[in-house]
Amino acid sequence: MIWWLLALPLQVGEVPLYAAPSFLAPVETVLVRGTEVKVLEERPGWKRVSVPDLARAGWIPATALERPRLVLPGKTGGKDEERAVALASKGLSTMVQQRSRKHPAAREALARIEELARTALRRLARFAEEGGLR
Amino acid sequence: MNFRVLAGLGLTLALWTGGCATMGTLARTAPTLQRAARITRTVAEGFRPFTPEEEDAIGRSVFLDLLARFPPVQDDSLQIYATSILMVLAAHSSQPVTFRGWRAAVVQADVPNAFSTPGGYVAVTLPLVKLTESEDELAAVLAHEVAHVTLKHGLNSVRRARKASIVKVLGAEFLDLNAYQKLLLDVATDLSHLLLERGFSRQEEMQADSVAVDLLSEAGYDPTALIRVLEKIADLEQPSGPGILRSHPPAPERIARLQRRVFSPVSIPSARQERFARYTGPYR
Repeated sequence: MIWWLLALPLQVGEVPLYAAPSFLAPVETVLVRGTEVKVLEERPGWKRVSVPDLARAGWIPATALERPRLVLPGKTGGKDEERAVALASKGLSTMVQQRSRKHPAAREALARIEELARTALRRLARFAEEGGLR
Repeated sequence: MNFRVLAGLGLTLALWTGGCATMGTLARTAPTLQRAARITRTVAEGFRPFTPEEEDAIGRSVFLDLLARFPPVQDDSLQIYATSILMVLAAHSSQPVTFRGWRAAVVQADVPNAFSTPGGYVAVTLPLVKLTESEDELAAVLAHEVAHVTLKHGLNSVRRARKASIVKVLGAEFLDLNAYQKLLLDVATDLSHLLLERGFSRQEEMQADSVAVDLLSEAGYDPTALIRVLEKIADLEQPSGPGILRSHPPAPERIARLQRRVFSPVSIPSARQERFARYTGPYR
């Protein structure tokens, strides 16, 4: 296997790069869809990866690298499926954009909520520790 | 929906329509099996689960509808506080990773209520935040919503209602982009209606309560906080009460169910209560 040589693209929209394989570990940065990572080590449910573009390494949940299944009868796997996934993805983002145009104030509100969520994520380890949470 | 049952039905249907297997020749068996495989695949894939990205697009669209109706409270500290609690709880859920991550918003509204949409978008109204008296109680509200998301209550309900179009569009040989977008928009519209008007079934609420107390325990919160919140909601449901959670069923039945469970005592650090007072105090 040469999987450790390959750069794999992230399949989720956003995922934190953690300092340890735990959802409450400090967050190094937030990675976005398409970022290429190289797998260095695997543990149940987690992968330690390097991010060549950012010259950083850390842990991500294994599911962040799982390709979505959008299998169509008679056209399974390979390029056909890749094309279907890409087309569907484009369709989905168009759909959300249309909804955003319908509610411009809500779109801005959601953008702010997402920005604050990234702040919460960066402080989460301390928040949990301070509150005696696990 | 049970995929194995569906796959089995597809196989049975194919063998039945292809003739009796015990009487067929070897030459007839291969095409029959191919046909069986194709029908099995069609049936199963017609009911394939939504991908995380599809869930996110549906949930995000519905959340935009909710935010248009209930704008977020302009208080960054409160929003970060609620989101942090949500993220700790979600880390213990069966779906710690969503397509974009879990998001929470405290929103303006006249009555206490909470909503969640697929993909991990959760909203709790300010009157409901004001009803809670500790971080553990606020966490109980959020844990209940996390449970609705991970149990896919909204999506499953809509999928049942839209079964025919889902099979037609998601089971088609080639992706028809227009039909696909229309289907997902219809699903989002149905879901908005479900959340704002109809609400979940009694059974789904009980199920979400049960998962919520597990999440609270695992995260280090007091699981009995959910009972205390439901008791407050029960008071509001009295005819003289100031408001109701329209989309949720009567609280006494849910309280009785939870009281049958045995919970271990939890020690709550003073820092937890202090920060609750700090972030929610301005609204009391």
